[in-house]
Amino acid sequence: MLFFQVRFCGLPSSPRGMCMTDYTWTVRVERVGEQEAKVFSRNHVFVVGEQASFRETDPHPSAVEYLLGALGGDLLRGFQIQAARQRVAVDALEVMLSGRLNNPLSHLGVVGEAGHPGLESIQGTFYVSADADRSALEEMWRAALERSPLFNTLRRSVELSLELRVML
Amino acid sequence: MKPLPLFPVSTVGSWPRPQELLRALRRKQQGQVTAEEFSRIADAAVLEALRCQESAGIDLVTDGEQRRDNFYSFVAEKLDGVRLMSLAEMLDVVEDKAGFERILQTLDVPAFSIQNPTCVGRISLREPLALDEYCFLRQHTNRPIKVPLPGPYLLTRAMWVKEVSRAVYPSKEDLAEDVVAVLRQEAFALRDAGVDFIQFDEPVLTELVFTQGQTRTFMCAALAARKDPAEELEFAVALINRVVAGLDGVRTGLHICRGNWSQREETLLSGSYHPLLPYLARINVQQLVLEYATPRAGELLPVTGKELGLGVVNPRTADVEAVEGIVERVREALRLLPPENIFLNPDCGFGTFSRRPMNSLEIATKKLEAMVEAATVLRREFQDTSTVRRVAGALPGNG
Repeated sequence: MLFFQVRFCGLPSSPRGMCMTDYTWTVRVERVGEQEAKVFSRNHVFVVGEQASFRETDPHPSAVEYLLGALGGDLLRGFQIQAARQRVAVDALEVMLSGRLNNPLSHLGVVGEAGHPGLESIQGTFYVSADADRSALEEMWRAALERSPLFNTLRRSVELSLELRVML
Repeated sequence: MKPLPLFPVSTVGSWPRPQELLRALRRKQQGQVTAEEFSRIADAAVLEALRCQESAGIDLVTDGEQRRDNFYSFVAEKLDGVRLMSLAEMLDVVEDKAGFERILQTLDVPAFSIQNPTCVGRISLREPLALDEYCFLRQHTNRPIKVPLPGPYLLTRAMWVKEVSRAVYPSKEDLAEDVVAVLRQEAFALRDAGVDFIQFDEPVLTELVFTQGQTRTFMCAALAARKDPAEELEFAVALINRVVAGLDGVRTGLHICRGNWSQREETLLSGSYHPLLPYLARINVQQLVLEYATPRAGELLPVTGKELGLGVVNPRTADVEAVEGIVERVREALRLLPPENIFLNPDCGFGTFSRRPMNSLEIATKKLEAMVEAATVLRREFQDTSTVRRVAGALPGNG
């Protein structure tokens, strides 16, 4: 599971991978094999496999899956922060995200294919089980979306369709 | 057994749970509520479920499975050697994570919401599975009572999770031996206590015949990989027959549906019962409780020598079925079966999974009322037939 957290520690010397003056984050990615890349991110290291994998299993998640996972992690963490602010005890949170390329054949380089290899749409369901009214949870969800870096990046370029589902 | 009228109306088992009970169930799983406090809340919910059924005129009542998280996971609280694991926990241990993800997408639920009873040790009955549920209900109604139990094939396939079970039971067939013993012990205790109807739920039988070509599709939660469908069906028949062998003096039934996890009908399995018929004919229960209220079930098929619990309302839709339509459906069944062999029921429960009820209390109640009204019409039509029947001794034995 991935956790995307950035801490502004306020120390004079910025931690590796983060510039304190203009709030940028840097990762360094190295080739470590024919089909994988290693990512160094502050004190973390993780491996990315294919750009987009069409196989059932792989040694490592693909870049597309990392992107979806990053969005999911962002949303979960954002919601948790809102819940903590409202002093709402959350029993469980889970998000399911599916991304669809505009044309996978374009990504594979099939000559004459129309469209593009980028993500056309991301659909998802955000499940929450908490001891709170539905209206309160919807308000937290709205606030989490408003403050989400990745949601607000992706929604400008991809058709994003996310549904909040409250589980009893 | 108490006598029943012609065209008895019943439910398949579960009933939507009130919010307070859902909160209590959640707190119980988190160890935040005492058993006494939970019982107090659950007792009230059972009585309300009973009141709904009695008010609607249901002839054969259940306790609405109010105390259960779902129709089979509750066994984890009653059996030694079984631990309730959410599918989220199981994602960490199973090898086929992609297969599990497909299951969850088919179910249209989060992994945290479904609990699977997982075998982690040698299983044995720590306390009765459903006898306490029956005894409580018996104190509050004079109507005949149906008690649903998970079937032996379902339990075996759900509980045997290779990664955590094989240390105790090398194969699911090994686990099945103890599952049969536990279910027999419970079924005989229920019979001795006076239960009128024991219904075994085996929804995964349709999974065997309607998902060919897929290595692992879901019906309930986690399912151990299956072998060849014919081999698995033979295995299932043998297990069920071993559970009911010698279980005379109580009506037994087998409920088989195609899934009840989503209101999106297109996500549920589809197909006629036809491939199952040769196997169902050899299962020694008196009644087959089948779903026939949707086109997904295919044409009505003859079930020679058995009663039919005819599914006449869809528990997942907001529209309440017209009484005339229900009557017409029963008339179709009458071409294949005598009137005394037909019961009316919904296709499945209204609250199979506690956190995912399939309908509101209001709609579910109206559907019960529609079935009762249809039965009244049919009884008038067949009034020359004996109105009191199905007493102990008039039934075929359980083999």
